[in-house]
Amino acid sequence: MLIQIFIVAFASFAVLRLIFKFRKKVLRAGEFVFWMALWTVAAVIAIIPETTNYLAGVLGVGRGADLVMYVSIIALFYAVFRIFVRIEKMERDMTKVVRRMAIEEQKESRE
Amino acid sequence: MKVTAVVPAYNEEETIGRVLGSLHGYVSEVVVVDDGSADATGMIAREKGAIVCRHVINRGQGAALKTGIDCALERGADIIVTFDADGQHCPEEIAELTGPVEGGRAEAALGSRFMKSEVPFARKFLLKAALVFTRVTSGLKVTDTHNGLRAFSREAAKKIRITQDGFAHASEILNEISRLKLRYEEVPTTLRYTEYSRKKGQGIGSFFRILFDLFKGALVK
Repeated sequence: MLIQIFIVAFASFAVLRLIFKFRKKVLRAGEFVFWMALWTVAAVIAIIPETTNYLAGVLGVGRGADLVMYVSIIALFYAVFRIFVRIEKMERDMTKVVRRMAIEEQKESRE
Repeated sequence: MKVTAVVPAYNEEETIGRVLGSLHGYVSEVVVVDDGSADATGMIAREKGAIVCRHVINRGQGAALKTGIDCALERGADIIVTFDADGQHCPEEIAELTGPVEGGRAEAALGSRFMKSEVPFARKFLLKAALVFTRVTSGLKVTDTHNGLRAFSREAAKKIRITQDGFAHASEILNEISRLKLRYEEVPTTLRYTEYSRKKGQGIGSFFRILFDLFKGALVK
């Protein structure tokens, strides 16, 4: 199927970029391994879709495709949650900086 | 006793001059926090002789309040009075709030509009809902959960942590009073609802926004 070709092509491209970044030392070892594993799994699932069906059977889910959907949704929820927390932390940090500036400037303006 | 009024302000050039003028004589010092206003708020405040701290970008009323409190404490305030910049509060009532704090009877005095004034119906419903929510989350039985007129002792002001930048800070202050087990008192105060202040008031959208902000706040801790 066309989608299999697309996914494998994209996964290969992503892996190449990963190797590149790792060599340039921009990527840490742990992250490198994680993402390599992710893309490899994606490629395997694309080439042999039946693997998801096997897993689905083990977990008690209808079809492989359904399992992929469930896992993806859970992963997305988690990612969004992490982003929210991150943003909230950034907002608080910004306020700390703005506050510090406000108080310093006020002190300086005293003749 | 040095009584400092902390007035957070965002684009309040229409009312800030009058408000600052009216505060004269009722407090020892006024700290205005110009929360990134695009208008003449800061300039007017300076002209009126207030101590002005300016946020280079708008951070929200809660953030501005905390900045003002920090500034006031740094300048040696013994009692801190939070006061709105839009003319809704009456300076004459400040003494009724500082009284219990000065006397040592309370560490925090909270103004309550329901004990005195007439409240527009729509606002009343929302505030009652907020009341129930506050009782459940903080355990405090207050009659007005979002009233900007309060008085704190120096020690109480130092201990209270305000991390909510937006309107949720009011709920956070109540939670802090509960957490720190501060002695507090509610004092009947007047809330002048004017055309101007009603335009700027918080509506139903704010209610949910505040809930969401409090939820996020709990996540970050």
